[in-house]
Amino acid sequence: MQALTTKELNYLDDLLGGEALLAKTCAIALPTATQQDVHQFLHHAVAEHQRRHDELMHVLTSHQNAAH
Amino acid sequence: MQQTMNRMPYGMDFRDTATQMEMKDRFHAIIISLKHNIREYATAVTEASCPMVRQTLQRLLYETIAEQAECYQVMSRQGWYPPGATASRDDVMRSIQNNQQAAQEMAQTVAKSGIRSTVGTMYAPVTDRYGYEAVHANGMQHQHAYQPQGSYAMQRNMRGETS
Repeated sequence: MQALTTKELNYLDDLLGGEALLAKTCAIALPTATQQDVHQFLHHAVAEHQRRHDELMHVLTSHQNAAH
Repeated sequence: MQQTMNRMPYGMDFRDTATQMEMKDRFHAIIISLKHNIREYATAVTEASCPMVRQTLQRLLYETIAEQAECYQVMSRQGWYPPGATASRDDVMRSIQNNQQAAQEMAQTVAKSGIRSTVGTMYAPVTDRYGYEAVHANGMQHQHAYQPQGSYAMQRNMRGETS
């Protein structure tokens, strides 16, 4: 496993922030969604953005030991 | 607002309309964030040096692009995303003619390097609204810079290339 570069780390930070923001935005909108397709999209989006956040966190943690 | 009012079904009150407007604003924020994330992922992919990181980011990029399309479809069905202005046929013709001139220059430059140019194999000759082949700004009828040798895929097969 090669160590993350500073650039990679910075991008991962930004992407993690982006996924968290989208998960929260969709979660806040979800209870007020009355139409089925809107509700379905938001419900799916909350799950997806949490999963992507997890995947990005996994990238970070799996490179933890390679860092000097 | 007017559009939403017109779409309001019988029995829907102003509170429903307000909720709809609020949801429209939320979706605009969501689609803007999705587009931002797509740009971030695309840049991060190009900057990644670790193959595993690159692979993960590339997959997440494609997923985010697909999600943005889904978001757009939902917004479009709700009437929350007005379609963009349509380009006129004249605008399209002008763009094609401008880019054909650039393509000819490109083909000439490529030909000088000793490689046979493949420019122009992917599209039919441009015709005007009456079906006549387009005339260039210099008054000459458009001529292909080379003789087409069949489809791009066929040429690749002849060269033994695989996709």
